[in-house]
Amino acid sequence: MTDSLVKNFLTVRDLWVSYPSRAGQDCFTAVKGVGFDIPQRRTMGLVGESGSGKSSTALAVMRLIRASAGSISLGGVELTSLTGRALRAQRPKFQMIFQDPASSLNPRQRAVDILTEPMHLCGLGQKSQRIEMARELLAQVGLSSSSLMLFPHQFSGGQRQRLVIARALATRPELVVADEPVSALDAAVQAQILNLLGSLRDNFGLTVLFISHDLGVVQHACHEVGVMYRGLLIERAPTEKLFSAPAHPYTWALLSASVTDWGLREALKTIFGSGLENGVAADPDQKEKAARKKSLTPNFETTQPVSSTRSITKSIKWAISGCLKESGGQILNPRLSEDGSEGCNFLQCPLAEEKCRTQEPVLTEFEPGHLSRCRLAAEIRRQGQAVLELASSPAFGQMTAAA
Amino acid sequence: MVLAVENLFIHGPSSSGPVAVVESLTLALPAATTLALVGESGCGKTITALSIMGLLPPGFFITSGSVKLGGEELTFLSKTELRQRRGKSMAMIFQEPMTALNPVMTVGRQITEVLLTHRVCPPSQARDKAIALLGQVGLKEPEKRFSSYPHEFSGGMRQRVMCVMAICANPQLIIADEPTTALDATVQAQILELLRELQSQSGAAILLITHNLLAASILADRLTVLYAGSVMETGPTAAVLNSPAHPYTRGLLGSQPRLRLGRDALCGIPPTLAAISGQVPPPGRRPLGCAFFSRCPQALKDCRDNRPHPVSKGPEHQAACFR
Repeated sequence: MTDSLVKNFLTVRDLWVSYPSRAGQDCFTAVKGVGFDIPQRRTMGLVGESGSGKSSTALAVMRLIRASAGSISLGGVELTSLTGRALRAQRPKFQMIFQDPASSLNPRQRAVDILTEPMHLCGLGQKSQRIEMARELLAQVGLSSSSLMLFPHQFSGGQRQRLVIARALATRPELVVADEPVSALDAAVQAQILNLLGSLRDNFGLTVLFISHDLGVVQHACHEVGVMYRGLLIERAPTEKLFSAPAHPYTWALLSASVTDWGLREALKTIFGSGLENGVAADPDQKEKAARKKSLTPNFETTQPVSSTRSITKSIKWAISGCLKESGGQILNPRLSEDGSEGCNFLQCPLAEEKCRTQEPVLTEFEPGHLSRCRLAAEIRRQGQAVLELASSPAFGQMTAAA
Repeated sequence: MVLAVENLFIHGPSSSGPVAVVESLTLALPAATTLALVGESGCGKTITALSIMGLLPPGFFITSGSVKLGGEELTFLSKTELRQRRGKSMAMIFQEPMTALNPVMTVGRQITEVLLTHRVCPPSQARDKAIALLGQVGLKEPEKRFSSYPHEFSGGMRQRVMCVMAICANPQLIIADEPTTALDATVQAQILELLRELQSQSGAAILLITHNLLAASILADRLTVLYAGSVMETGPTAAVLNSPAHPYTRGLLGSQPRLRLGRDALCGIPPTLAAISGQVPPPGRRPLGCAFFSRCPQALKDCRDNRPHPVSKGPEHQAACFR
């Protein structure tokens, strides 16, 4: 066992998942060569829209569906080649939390049976001990031990998700795969469950693969984030890096759909409304204020102009304001665009050139720890940083308030 | 005012007889504006919407108060009169488009049914009108879509069809009950954007019902925060979000993970969210005084026995809190 395997608890390499299609021999490939590592006790987030392959990746890691190629190694054990008894012996180590607590609990089982069944299946303790362990689990997820004899329908949505989490922890796993664990819950309950997951991760020393379409949730819950689009991992970075400024046009589009911070959205609107490409603002007074900011922020107008500087700024503007509306609901839908092209799979990219259509970009580490599948990654990140810097600077807030 | 709800009480069934589900609710919604009704499940948001539409489930009754649509009192109308109003002067977009659309009828037939029922256009023009509307909500190849079945659509497209059915008779009021909750983040933004666009074209008033305060802020001009059947806070979106005056509003805001971008992202994320502990008390087991008393981190002695009345916290901004 090498050092890297100990350090990275879960290692996924070049994972492919295909589903046979009913129509003919050809199949639908949901995951195309995804790879990532999760070090012990860390959380990795996968974001993307429905159909981007994030759930298929999760199911393949759980060995609930078979990967068609690639390797998944958990604590140094290769999972893809295991079958039957050998696989079952590993199962207690990795468990799953499902999206909808209403449909993932057996309605005819009491909480106590829901929790002791997995223990029984992996030969954990005697019967009386198991009930005691179930009681402890309930306490750990914030449910009273009096709920041991209740049926799922007697719990509220949030409590049910706590029960699902308790069940996942029943076999004392080291890896937990959480597939949209809070998407089906109310905003206020979401916070309770996210807090619970965070504290359990620390108390149990869990390694977590966290799947979600909500960027806010992912930012809160994960150390590292991977963005998926049409079966490919198109960007991967530590959370702070990714959200300080993403380096792929698609991530920008995804981000723009999730900007719910009222102040930030207004700021971005103002920036792009005032014609960012032609200097920061037309008003001389504002120009002066902007000049003062230059000392703080890397202004992309003053840095070495690249041929595509203007178009990248435009692209970010596109991503933030217009693309989603113009698209008619289909531009970002990963399933609808035709497959089989040789180039980049983000066909609607505003920065696409001839080169992008013929040459498929590869996931490259353009900055330490930050990987992107775009040839302009560094440039997009640098300019995006400048835009966000401007939008979130207090000076800008005062400027817009005065205007 | 397109919609004026005044001092509305709704009672619902429970094992120990009727209990108040919505208490003393007052809403005012002028034309071409959007009001978001925000709160957790079990707060009475959907029941309020259904009562306006005259679609209250069996056992639920409006016990007092008035609901006026364009000046006309709705609570006195008969079933037939209400049916004439529904779809024509008020329409509803439901949360889950898959269950709201009829799976065995083509989308086109479902839309033309509305057009013909309310005599929006002569039968000979219904098809063209429906196709034009499908194009208007951003569906590509509307002719082809006209004869498709709901299962052939993605979730976002189905919600667009729901929007067509809501707007096709040009209603004064559109009630959107969690229209984006079942959808992906990107599609959510598209649908909210579409609603805004449709509103600017038709001038309809929108009552948006959601549990997501931040999503509501994208579309709404005003926010009304509902908790356990009572209004906690109401005011212009910016005022409520920038200076929330009620502990419940603050709790809701604090419990939502906010996307931090740019330099904020580098500062690190607080390890825990400021979640509101506990859950909404069911109707019948609500506190005597302030409805939020049992979960409020800042509750006073007074709050237990006395119900706070809305007090002004700024221009058009009110909150029901003693603090």
